[in-house]
Amino acid sequence: MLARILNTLLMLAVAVSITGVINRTRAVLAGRKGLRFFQHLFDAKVLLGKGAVYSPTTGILFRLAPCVCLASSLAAFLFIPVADLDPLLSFDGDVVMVAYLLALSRVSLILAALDTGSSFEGMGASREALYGALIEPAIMLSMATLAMLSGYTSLADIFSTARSLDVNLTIVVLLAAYVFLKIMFVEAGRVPVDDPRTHLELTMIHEVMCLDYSGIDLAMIQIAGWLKTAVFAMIAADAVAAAVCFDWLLAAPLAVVVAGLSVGITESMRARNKLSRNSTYILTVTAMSALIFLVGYLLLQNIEIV
Amino acid sequence: MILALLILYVVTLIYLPITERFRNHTSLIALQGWILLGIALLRLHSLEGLELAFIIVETLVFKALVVPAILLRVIRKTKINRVSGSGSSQFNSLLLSLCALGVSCWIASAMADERIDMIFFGVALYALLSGLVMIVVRRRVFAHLVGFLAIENGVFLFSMAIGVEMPMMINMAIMLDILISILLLGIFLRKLDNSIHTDDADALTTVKD
Repeated sequence: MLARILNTLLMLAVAVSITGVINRTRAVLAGRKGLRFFQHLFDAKVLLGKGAVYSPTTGILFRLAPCVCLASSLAAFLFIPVADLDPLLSFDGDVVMVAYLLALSRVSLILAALDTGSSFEGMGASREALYGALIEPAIMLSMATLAMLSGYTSLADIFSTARSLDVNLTIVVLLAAYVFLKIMFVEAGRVPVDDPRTHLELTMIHEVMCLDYSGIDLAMIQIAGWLKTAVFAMIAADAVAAAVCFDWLLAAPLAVVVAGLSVGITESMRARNKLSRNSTYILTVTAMSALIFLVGYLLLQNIEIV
Repeated sequence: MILALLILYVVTLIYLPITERFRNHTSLIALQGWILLGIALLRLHSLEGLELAFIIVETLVFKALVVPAILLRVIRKTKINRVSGSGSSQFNSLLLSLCALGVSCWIASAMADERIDMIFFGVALYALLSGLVMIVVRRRVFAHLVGFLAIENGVFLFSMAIGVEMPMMINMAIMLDILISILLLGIFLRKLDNSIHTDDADALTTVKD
């Protein structure tokens, strides 16, 4: 039980630290003093203390969506192990459950955006649905690769047994980690797919769906975003740890550093994609996940490379 | 190590259909040349000294240096820098390429046999199919040429899969390299641009005696 509590605490630490590392990295690279490391937590605290304002055109879907989004993200979050520690929730086949919970989180926000009747939010919902449809095969294929290589369908079992990998399988697992990192960029709505700092509604994707939210609802959506980011960052870190050094002492800091630095550096170094190029970018991630799945499959068929 | 090189080779094939600038196409073809050189070094080390040296030098000179240099010269001379059309065209090409990857893997696993190296076969088949996709989807002649080079690299890779037993196969693949280089020099630098002044393959249908 102690391991499960430690796992949950570590995941929470990862979730709140990634945004801080991203902000600090961007500030350092831009030569600015920047925000405090935990500024986003103070902002969320302020929002949590406020009430919510609802437009008279919105219905029950709009009001329910932040709760559903946060609850489903939190549920998915509780399935993720930190290296060899046991997660709070786990059962056979939970890899599919995690993917569905994250999809539920996305669908709730899409429905809420449509419920407002705003044309901007409708555009954002349409884009989010398209990108979701393109990225979900990548999530499923990457999860399937890890499940296929380990022989288990539970994330806890996958990362408790993935210890004796030969060189070829290590390469595949490291590539899977890379793909999960790319998926994190898409799911978290980060540059180059989306820019959380943009002020132009026409080019927004994730942010435009939250335009009508305020106060506690907005805080719940932001917290759900941190949890989703932590889910993918930790799976990527677990995969790297499984290939290199399988220990939670390595996996937890690795998730924060790799996710935070990669997002921070990318946001400092390049602009976001044109909207027309986003679908190609996401399909490339899916193609990479298909590649690692197929290579893993061929390796498991005992087709050796001399 | 060979698996890492093969995966990197497949990644270049995935990026080939979504690349917009011909300079990047050239970089990818050059990278494929260097990867094939690495695979040749690792794969064919049991061949005799002179034969191995010939294959290595040919791969290095033609695939990694000469062909990319000629491609860059063609880009400079014709001043054609990008594929025609963007956005959805890249998406469709990548979708087709993804299907080609699935088909190649399916055929490779269906033919799984202890005597043939099926990962080499699968990757070579994918290279052939993605070259075909480039030729079918793109309109500009330069992109067709890049597709043809991708096919040619696939043939070379497959010849290496059986090269230890049949070195003559590699020599034949090398002949194909030389043919491509002459084709590049002859058609692009001398004839096509001077006579037709177009980069669109559709316009070639109007050519008359």
